[in-house]
Amino acid sequence: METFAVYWEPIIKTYGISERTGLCLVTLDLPFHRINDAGGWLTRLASRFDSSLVLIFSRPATPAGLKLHLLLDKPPEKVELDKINAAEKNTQPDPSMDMNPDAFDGAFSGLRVDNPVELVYFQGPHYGDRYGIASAAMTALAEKKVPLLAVVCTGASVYLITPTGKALEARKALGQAFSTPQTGKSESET
Amino acid sequence: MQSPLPKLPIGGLKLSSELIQIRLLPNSGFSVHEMFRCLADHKINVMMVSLDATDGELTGIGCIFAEDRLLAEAALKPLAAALDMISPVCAMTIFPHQARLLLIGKILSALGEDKLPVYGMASSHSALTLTTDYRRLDDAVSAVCRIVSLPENHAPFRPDFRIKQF
Repeated sequence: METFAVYWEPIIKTYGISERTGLCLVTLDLPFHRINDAGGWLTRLASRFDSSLVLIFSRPATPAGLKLHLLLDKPPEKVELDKINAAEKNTQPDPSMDMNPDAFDGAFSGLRVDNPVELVYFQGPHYGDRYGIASAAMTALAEKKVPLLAVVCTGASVYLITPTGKALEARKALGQAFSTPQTGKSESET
Repeated sequence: MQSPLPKLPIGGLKLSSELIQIRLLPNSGFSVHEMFRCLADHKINVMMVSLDATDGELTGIGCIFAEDRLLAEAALKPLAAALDMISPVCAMTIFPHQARLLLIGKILSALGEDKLPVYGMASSHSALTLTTDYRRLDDAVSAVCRIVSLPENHAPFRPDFRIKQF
């Protein structure tokens, strides 16, 4: 059975546009055949990490693996990154570190840390069922020349990660392109 | 005898219908803006997106419903050389993840142990969506259910109906 309903938005509606600053984006290359190890690594990391996960996302990367991103609410302590770096270079980390470096050996490469970064995010009605939302968001930022480090959309949520100092510009650009509860219409019309 | 490890509680597990995962190849000469504009112009919903700029320009994946494949192929014809498509794909959404790296790590391990592919991941504040082989969906659900406990009377579900914007 099909039911048709008519709904028209002159401007795409959001439930509000939010931002967070002072975040840390950690990127790793993970071979497909080491996903099992990576899961173990994340599990161990969870027990030692002082940071909280904000987002996790990935995409396929050549030759046969995933580019895995962790957006954290603060950077991992230097000692943790040193351990990962040591594993990446296959060198021996400081023996005082009590985490077994072999646990990381070969599981990850291509460590990259972008810190600090900022996040702008918003949700809206039935975004997961509608076309053009991500395109509208990226176009709004491109028109204002706001750079993007990453875009993540799932369900009714859109997340845009920007370099530091750019979240406010991004939020303003989105506020002009989308409707918000504060304005009921595009901020450019207020 | 060692008792089995306790399962991690979650609120639910949602499965998508059959999907196509489209990837814009890095340094292809085309931008994701073009890709998403082409899809939007043809009214094609991209139900999961994961893009990053670690290779320079923004690149990454978007998932569309399998029924939109022909339309998408036509829409993306100008970018065809810059794209690859994986199909059939299914999105499995676990909610809430509550920012538990432990949970996410164990899920990845379980899928890896069973040699199940993970083609992509995207989370929100509450849910984690990952894409895998649609043909091995039951295996993927079994792997995840070794790790998680679902509420009583809850089974992994597929939505009974879909909303489509024309």
